[in-house]
Amino acid sequence: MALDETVCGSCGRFVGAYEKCPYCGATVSKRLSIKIFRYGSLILSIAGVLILYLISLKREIPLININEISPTMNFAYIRVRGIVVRYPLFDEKSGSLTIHINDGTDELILKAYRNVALKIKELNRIPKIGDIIDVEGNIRLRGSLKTLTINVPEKVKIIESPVIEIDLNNISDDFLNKKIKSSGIVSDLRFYKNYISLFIKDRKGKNKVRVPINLNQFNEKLPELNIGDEIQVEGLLSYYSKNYNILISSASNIKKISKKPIVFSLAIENVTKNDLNRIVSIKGEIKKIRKFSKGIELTVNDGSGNISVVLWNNIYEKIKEKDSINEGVLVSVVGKVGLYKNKLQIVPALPQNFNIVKKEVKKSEKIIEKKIGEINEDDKGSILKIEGEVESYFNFSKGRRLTLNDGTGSIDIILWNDLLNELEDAEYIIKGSRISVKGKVSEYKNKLEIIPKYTSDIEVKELNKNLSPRNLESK
Amino acid sequence: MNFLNFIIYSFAGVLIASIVSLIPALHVYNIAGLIILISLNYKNLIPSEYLPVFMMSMIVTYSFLNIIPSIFLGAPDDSTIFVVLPGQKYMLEGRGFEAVVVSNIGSLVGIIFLFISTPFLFVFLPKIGKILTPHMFWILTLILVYMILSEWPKGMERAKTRLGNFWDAWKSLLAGILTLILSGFLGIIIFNKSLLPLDISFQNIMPAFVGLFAVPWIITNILSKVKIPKQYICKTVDLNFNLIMRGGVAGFLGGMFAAFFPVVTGGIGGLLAGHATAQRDERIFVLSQGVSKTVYYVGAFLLFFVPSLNVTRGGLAWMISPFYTPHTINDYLIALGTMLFAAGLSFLITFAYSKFVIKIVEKIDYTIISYFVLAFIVLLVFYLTGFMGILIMLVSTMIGLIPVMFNSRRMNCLGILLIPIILNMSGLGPKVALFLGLIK
Repeated sequence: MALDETVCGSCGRFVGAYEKCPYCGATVSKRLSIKIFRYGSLILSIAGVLILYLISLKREIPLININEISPTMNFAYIRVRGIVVRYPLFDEKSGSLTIHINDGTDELILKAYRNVALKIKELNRIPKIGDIIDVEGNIRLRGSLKTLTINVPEKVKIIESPVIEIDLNNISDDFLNKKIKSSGIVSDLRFYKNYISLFIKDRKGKNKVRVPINLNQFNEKLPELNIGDEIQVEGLLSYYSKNYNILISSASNIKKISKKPIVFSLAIENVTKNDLNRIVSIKGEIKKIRKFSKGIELTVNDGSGNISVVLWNNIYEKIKEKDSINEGVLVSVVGKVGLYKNKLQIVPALPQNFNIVKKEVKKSEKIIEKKIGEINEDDKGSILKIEGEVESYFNFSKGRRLTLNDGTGSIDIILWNDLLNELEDAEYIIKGSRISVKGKVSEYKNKLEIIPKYTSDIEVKELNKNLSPRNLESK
Repeated sequence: MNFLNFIIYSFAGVLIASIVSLIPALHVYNIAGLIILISLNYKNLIPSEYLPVFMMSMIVTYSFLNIIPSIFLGAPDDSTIFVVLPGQKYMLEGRGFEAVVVSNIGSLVGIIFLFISTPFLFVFLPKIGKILTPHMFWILTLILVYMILSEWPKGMERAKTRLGNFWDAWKSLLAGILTLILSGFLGIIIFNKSLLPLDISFQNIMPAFVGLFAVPWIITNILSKVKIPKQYICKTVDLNFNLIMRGGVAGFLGGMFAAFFPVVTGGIGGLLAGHATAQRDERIFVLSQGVSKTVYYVGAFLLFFVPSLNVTRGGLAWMISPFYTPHTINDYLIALGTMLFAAGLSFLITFAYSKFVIKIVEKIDYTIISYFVLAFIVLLVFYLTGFMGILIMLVSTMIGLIPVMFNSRRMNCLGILLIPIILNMSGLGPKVALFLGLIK
């Protein structure tokens, strides 16, 4: 049974530290040791807590490298300093704030919840991507996930990162997770919902760098950008999806340097494989149109040569005058030079990079001399000049039809009455006469014919004076 | 997962926990921390996929067996403090073995309830968690207020003056409130400043807990010089299905409440469940506390494996979370299987262990055991946390002695967790820390 002062001397029950038995009310004498512990614990506990408090006041919060955080450091209250490497996320619904930082040794996720997150927002201490943040909090480790929970909004300090000015061709892994400033020419612009993927290159069309723009991140308006614009970009350098990326923190991080797009205007014959990935500008006439499932391919000719222009469906559908894209139309194209099946092509990245200069082209501007036997379906719409002997002719109500033969073949010539009436030698243009005709090739009842428009288009080379048209009603 | 390895690591967990459980005042969490540190140095000692198996076996066994030192060696942790009085009554009446059996049945009932509640854990608990999470702050505040208000004046003196009577009635309550304030203040310091070496931070609360709960009890035992009366080994227990169900439901509610709510321990859960279900029968009390502590310890750890819940509750889950992350329902099923396997073993060995301890305490001076345990705990704290850990343990011991010496609730020592967490959840934590100069 229990002994001494822990047992009631009167009833024999266990009373522990009671000085009065809770069962019978008898006084239980206590030895000094119990009394010492009773009051000693009071004094020493207060003194001890005060000592620990004073020690803690002297303690500095240790600044730790992220890679030094080990699993046994779970719950440690530490300080870290690193650059913000992803866009901070403030979730209004759950009231939580998530920030990813990297201190050059490793990456760490900072978390703040509810009141703390709201207070950080209120204090305007949510950092921007590329900012350096100095913060204190409790380490939380779960599997391979390292997080630091921010408890005190006031301990979030934002320090502006130094900006390294660098040429695009000097960008390397050494500058990863550092804030850089670089300039280049916009080579590609891809638009998504609330997101733009912008690519820049140097003037040689090399060293492609991506500038992803999340439109939800900014309130400011981005400058209007076009392919070929020379821009300066300031932001955090990262590597993602096989590309260096410059992550901007605000729209003002993109500045347009050139007033006009820097585009290399070239004659088609001068576009070579050396221009691959370069942005060039060409002007020419659409010679051929080929549709395929993902877009259309135009063969454009500027007199010096042919080149393919590929309009992907997403671009083609947004071209305002797309219905006017026909053969013979004069167009100007700005796009990146590419190579497909060893054939050069130009690919516009924006609808505005494809413009129709003239919807109809006067074929008379270019007169082609041909033998009649060489004329074929491809010449439809072309202005040809031919010479031959009138094989036969036929007058009808609106004019005269001649059949001209140059020894290589024959073709019909239509002379409308308005032309015929003005033509001085009209009466001599009969069978046996030799004439030269300039006119547009067209087709009637599956047969090609040439229609001169002006009196100057007909030149009588040799007359058959033995025959008078008045005496002849038909051939 | 290899079945043989599963058995080996389960047995290992049961074995180590059964040794730990017999050392009064030594907590399974202290040893778990030590094992984690050792296994970090010896990578192949416990492969990460068997870490949950080993730890689950340990926690299950501990939750069954820790009733033995609570009853025979009088050194409970915070989750068993409610068992002490009725348990010690049993022991002093020579019925300590019966109390162990009743509590053991309660633990088994708790395991069965946990197994049955699997659909609840997967389907309803995530939804309940989603609803309750934003309200945690005021729920915990209410619990704290309830803890304070539910303790009544205990004066026995018939003093000569009114003031004397008032002081006698209120001194234990005031001591309780002082304990709450001091432990809360200590918690604020520990949570805001890393006093321990950084690489042992996962054990930052350990020296404080040892000081608040373990050491005061060992000191009390040394001072009180209790001698264990002859114990009767019973063949039957005075329980029926009705009592088991009443105690089981009350205990499960308390245990689950403690397991699910952050910071709330088995002791607090037991208090709330006991009051809520108004169970006055001592048998139900002991049984429901057996259920409650098992559901609290094992349930909190089991929640860690529920994929859709994504919560970390209880010291053990927090300790292994940096080393192991459950991902699939398969991980939960392995944890569940380990729980059942270890529970079966633990239920059986509790009887043998109880008889063994009865023989030991009848033959060996309990004071000597207490001295050995005290020395071991001090060495463990020093090994794990160094001089600063010893200082924190000493200060905490002084705080932990206040409720023991003034007969107030030792549960007030949980202010070390409750107060800083409530302050942080309310958004007042940083302001208090700034005011105290802990944050500059």
